[in-house]
Amino acid sequence: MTDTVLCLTEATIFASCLIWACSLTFVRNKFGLQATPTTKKQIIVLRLLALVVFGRAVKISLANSAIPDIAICIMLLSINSIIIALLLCFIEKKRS
Amino acid sequence: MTPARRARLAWLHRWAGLVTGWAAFAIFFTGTLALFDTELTRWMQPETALIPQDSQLTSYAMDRAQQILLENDHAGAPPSFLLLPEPRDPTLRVLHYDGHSFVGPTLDPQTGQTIPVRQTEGGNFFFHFHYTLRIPSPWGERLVACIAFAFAAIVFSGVLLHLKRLMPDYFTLRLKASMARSLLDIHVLTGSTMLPFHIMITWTGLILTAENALPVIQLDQPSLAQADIAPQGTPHWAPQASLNLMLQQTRTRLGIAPSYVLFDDGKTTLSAIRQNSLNSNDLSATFDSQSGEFLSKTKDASQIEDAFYILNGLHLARSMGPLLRWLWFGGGLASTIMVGSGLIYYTARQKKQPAYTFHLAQRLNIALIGGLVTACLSIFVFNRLIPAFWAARSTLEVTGFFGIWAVCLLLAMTLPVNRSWRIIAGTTGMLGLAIPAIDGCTAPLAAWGTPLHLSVNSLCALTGLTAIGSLRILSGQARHD
Repeated sequence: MTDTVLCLTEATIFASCLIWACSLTFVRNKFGLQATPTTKKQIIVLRLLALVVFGRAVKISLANSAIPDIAICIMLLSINSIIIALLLCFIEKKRS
Repeated sequence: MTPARRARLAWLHRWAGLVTGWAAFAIFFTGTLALFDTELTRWMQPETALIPQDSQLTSYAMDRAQQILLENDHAGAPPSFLLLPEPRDPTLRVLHYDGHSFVGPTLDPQTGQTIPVRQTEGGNFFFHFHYTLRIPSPWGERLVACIAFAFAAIVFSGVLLHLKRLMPDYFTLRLKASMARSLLDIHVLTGSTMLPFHIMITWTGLILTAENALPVIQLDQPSLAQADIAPQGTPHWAPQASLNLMLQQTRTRLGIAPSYVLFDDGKTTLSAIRQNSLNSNDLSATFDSQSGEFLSKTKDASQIEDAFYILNGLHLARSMGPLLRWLWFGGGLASTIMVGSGLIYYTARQKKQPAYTFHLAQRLNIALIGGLVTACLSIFVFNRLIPAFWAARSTLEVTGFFGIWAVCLLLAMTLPVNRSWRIIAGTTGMLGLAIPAIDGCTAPLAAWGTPLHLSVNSLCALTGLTAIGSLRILSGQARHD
């Protein structure tokens, strides 16, 4: 995997994690987003979008050897999740 | 899930976790360090820093290695093997197993001259500890296999317990909440985000240890260590034919440069690790040791065999590139933190536990979690402080490691909990921060700026700072109490 492909894969996986985070109730509460009748639909759309973006990341990363590249994607997904959890931890909840 | 079933699963998760947790912590921690065993060996032998990273093996160096092999053979020494230069270790090593570790001369791959390296177990110590806990064979391997089985059950019960909240709680981390809540969040976060890694590493570990846990299962292919130990009585194992010619032929036949050479039963086998393939089935070419005639090369493995080799490769991480190796290191660290936070969480929920279990668990946590980290850092310090020319320095390093760990256990058992934690965390902090300074004073100038020394020294300093940070958390908690 070249450096460019790696950077692109990492950015895409990070975006996928962020999109998934936006679909979670406690994250939405942190940003003061109120529940509306369309919330459920928004959540489904966001999660589907996150999966599509992750799929795109896997496609970007696949160069010649499939198994190491898929392993890299899964590990990047795990590590990005921890990074986002740490970032979210330091964001104070907005009082509505 | 019914409340009764949930309670039973929670009981299994809590008690299996507590009983095997301390050993699992040691296995995960040393396993994570063992991912960089070759690099740690090089850091612990700073004399090798003078060899450029991209050194090419010359025929002169190979002839010198063959001369040493023949001398060893005539002296009646047990069979040796060669580790050829590669990006992770650019030296040429002629090693044999002395019953405890692999020892032997290290050569410059260009000139063939012997590099006067200090004797040390190096990173191999962590690798050996990871799968034996330094308990004599086969009991160590069997114990680790049992812990792997228990860990599989713990992971399974943990997933079932948390399944319902897995999606909603995925990014939940509340470090500003109470200590018990923060620990549970860390435990669940590292457990759920790294779940694919936990499942993979436990499953592949089970496959690797199954042979030891169930001695009925026997694989016919000997490992590097087994191949070296087995033919003790074989006369004249060293090759008479030119190793240089065999090396050239192997490069042509396999298409890649070999990484190691084994001598067994009148045959010389040159094997190449398939880099970045995750497949532990190395490509090999076998020659007649006397005539140098090519005999055979590795046959293509069947799909089932390939699956087995890939599962092995995923655990052993021998053929991984640097990126995947660092990601595996992150995974190993997350697993270690998951086990550690789970163990400390048990004592943080003190009101719910019986007094005797709580006090014992608290002290064992300090001794076995804090003590292990201190002991691991101390082995690096001993490596630099014990004079390089001492013959028994390798044994002294290991004795020092266990000595420091035993002192930590003694402190944890005799002193009040807060005080023993302060002493152990303070010592860890000092050792971690001292290592870069000691390395700067004792390593050759050429080693200072190398990525290897920078990474090892930075990680040691970071560990030290984390230990000092834990002291501040403890002080804050004491004020809160």
